[in-house]
Amino acid sequence: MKVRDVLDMVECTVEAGTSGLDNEVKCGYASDLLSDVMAHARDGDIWVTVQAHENIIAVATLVGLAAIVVAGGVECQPEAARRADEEGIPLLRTRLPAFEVVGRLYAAGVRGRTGS
Amino acid sequence: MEVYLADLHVHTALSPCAEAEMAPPAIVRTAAQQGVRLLGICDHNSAENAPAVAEAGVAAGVAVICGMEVQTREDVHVLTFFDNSRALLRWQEEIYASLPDVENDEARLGEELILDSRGVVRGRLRRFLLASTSMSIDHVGRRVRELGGLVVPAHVDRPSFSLIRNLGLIPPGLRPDALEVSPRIGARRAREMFPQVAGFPIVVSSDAHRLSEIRGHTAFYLRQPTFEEVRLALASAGGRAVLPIE
Repeated sequence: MKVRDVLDMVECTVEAGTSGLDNEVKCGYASDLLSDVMAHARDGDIWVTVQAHENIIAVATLVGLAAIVVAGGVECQPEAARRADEEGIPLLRTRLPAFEVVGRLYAAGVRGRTGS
Repeated sequence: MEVYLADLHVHTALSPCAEAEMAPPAIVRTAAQQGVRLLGICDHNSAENAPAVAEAGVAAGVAVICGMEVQTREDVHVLTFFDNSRALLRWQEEIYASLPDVENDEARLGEELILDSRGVVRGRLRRFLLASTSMSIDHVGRRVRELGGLVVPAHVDRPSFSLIRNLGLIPPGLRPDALEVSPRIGARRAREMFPQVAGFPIVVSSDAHRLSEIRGHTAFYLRQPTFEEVRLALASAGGRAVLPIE
C-alpha cells in the first residue's frame, strides 16, 4: 500500500510533503512521545500522532517513516509543513481521532510490528 | 565574585500538587538552613506567589528570582524567569488567556493558595493550573525572550512533561538559556545519557513540592544574586559560571 492509498481512508488533507505520496507503507506506529517514536518506530511505518511540532519531521526523517498522520484536528505548525516539504515526508492531517485512524488503517491491512 | 548555592525550581502552595506547608516564610527559612541563597519560584502556569516569596526572602538573606513553570501545548514543562514584575505580570496574563477555562476541584486536585509574604492565605485561585496552555514551545521561547526573560526547559531527563521525552530533540530555533536536569540523574549522567544536551548549560534543581526537597544542587559564581547575574552566568560571561554539584 502506498501513502496516497490511505488519504481517503482516513479522511485527511495533505498539508505538505506531496513528493513522498508514493512511499510504501510497510507497518504502522502510534505514539505522542517523540523519543518513543525515535526508539521504536521503523523504516516505512506510517505514524499516527496528535503532536504537530516541527520536530515530528526531524523524527520521521531520522527513522525513515513513510508518512505522518496528525489526528484529532490538531493544527500543524507552519514550520512543520515547511520542513515536511523540504524532506519529502507526507504530512497528513485529519479531523478523525487517533483511535479511529489506527482502526481504519488496521482494517485495511496495515499492522503494527509485534516482534521486539 | 562569590559562590551562591541555588535551587531554581521551587513550587509554593499555589501549585495544586504542592504541600500546603510551601508558604513564603517557610520556603525561605528552609532554603537558608540548606545554605541556599538563590531561589527560583516556579509554580505551574502562574506567578501569583513568587513576589511574596521574594519579599519574605529579604529578611532571610535569600534572593528570589520570580518565574513560572509553563506547560506548552506539547505537554512540555518550561521554566520562564523574569527580572521585572511588569514583564512577569504581562506573561502571566498571556498564560492565563491561553489556559483552558477549567475550574479547580480542590477536593480531588488540591488547593491553589494565594499567600502573602507572612504566609497568610489571601485567596484561592479559581482556575485549574495543571493544564497545557495552547502555546507551542517555540512561541514560549520567542515571547519570553521578547519580554526579557530566561527560558529553561524543566527536568529534561524525566519520563513525562519533558522536552527530550516529548519532542525527542531540542527544537533548532528554541535556543534555551539552559536545560534543567533532575537531581537523581545529575548533570554528568545527563550528558552521557542524552547527547541532545551537548552545548547547553545545565542547572540541577529540586522541583520541590515540599520543604524537605529544597536543596542547593547547583552553584552559581556571581557578583550578586540577581536575575541579570544569573543570565550572565548561564552565558559564562565575565568570569561568572554555573556549576552543577555532583
